[in-house]
Amino acid sequence: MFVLLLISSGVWSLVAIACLMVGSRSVGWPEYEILSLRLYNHVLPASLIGSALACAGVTYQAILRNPLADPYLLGTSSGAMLAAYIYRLPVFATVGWISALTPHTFALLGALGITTLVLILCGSRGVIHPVTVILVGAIINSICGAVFLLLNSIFWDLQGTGGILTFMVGDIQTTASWQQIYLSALGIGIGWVLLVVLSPFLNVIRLGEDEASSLGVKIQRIRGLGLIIASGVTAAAVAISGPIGFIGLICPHIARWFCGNDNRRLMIVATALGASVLTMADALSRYLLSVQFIHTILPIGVITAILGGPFFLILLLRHRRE
Amino acid sequence: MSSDFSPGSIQKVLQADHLTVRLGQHVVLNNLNFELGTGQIMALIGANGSGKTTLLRTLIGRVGFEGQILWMGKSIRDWSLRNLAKQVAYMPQSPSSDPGDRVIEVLRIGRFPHRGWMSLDHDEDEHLIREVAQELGLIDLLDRAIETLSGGQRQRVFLGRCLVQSPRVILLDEPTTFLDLKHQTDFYRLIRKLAEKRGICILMACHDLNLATAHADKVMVLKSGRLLACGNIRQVMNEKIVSEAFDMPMKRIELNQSFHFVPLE
Repeated sequence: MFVLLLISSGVWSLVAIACLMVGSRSVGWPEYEILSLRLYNHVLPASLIGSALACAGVTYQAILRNPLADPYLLGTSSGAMLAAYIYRLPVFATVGWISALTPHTFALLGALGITTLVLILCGSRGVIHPVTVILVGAIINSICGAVFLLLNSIFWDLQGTGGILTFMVGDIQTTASWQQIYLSALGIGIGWVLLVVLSPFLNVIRLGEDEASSLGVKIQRIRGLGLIIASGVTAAAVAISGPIGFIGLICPHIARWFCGNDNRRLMIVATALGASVLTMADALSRYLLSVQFIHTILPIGVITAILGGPFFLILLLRHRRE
Repeated sequence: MSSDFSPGSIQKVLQADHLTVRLGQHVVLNNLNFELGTGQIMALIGANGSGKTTLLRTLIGRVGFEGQILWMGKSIRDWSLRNLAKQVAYMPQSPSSDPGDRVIEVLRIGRFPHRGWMSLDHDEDEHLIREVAQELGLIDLLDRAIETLSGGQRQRVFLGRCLVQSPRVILLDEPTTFLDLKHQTDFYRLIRKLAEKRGICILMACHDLNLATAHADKVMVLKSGRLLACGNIRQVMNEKIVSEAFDMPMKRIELNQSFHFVPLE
């Protein structure tokens, strides 16, 4: 397991170093100032967000026993999106404690709030069923999306940074303060350690209730804990990135092809893979700026969706054939 | 926390006293009294809906009940889930696995109750897994995906997961449902061999009267949640009891020191 951790960290480090060399105007080892800018504004946040989404994806897929589960299933992204928009409403700009917060902290609160609501609704009878979680999550996601669009049609000309697309597509928020990034990094770091500790239990609970219980696991407790931790990790990532798609869905699947279904190994490999893939997507978005017909830097969410979707499809079909 | 059960000191592995299970207003198991001794194989027989699966699920603590269940002389309410898992393994009618699960991964999960908080793989665990795989004829299949195996091989893998748990008792819920006659016979022979070799107690719910009774020491017959009979196979399995259990006239035919039941309708 420790060897796997070392190899995974090594692979991610190599990817990160390679991506540091990619700029919007040239490819090569940059000067110190630019290197520092790429490291702190791009490579580290992208790695942080990618690893968070991938490890949360592993957890959701195991707990919900659904290979299509992704970290946004519990309304985390729509909660963040709605909160980030609400933050900019004129009526809230006058409320002292809200205007004292950064938009990203407010998005974090929104993500946590909506996820908590979903978890409370799912576990109101003391029992969490995967199907209920998926359905309640889908309903709350729809409601948040609808409220977001309703507010947007009322307050259509809002002032603020980032634009409406920022929290719909997902990108690394260069406007996020360092305090906000530190807060997210702390949350993701603690959450990841807890998920690694929880990963052997995930191997058992994906079997089903009776078998998990006969192997000594209190399945409801692990489901509840896992969903809370994974949602916290996702919320911490979404607060500084918006909903970047596909990473939480495809990285666990690609990692499975390397290390099988054992969640202990999967948690480590998928985390490194998530960090590496998102760092590469970020480097690609910088590189594409040098292409003539692209006039603005593409949000990472666009790249992960455009490239991630077909890439996953090809790998999936090839794997099925084998 | 280690279990306080010392093998050999207790003859009664399982004892149920006045065991009653209600689901809402419906009484699913009604005042059952039975016991199971060290190394015995007990067949649990009854028609569909007689309460066989509910009984097995109750015995692993999955269903609330009235009365008393004693595992190794200690009430099930006093066992921690993890310590009970070190003593009692359970194989449901349709064991779960995900596509792509390799045989070795399925077997490793069986060691979960014995592992520490980080659940790392230890050499002794791997040694035990290979020993069980060898015994069940799975050693060449360890890297195969579970969905590529035949029904019989798959059932052996899930039985292997139970054995890797190093239990004193294995509860099997209709383990041969999806197997043909040859594989059913092979499976029951294997069960018998393991019970004798390892001294494991087995309680198995079965549909096939003849195969089950041919390989069990004791039998428990359920009808609509009530215990119709429990005891030695030759004493209990008579035409009257079996006919009543399945609500149809049955004839007992003696054949080469064994006996078989055939329906008369």
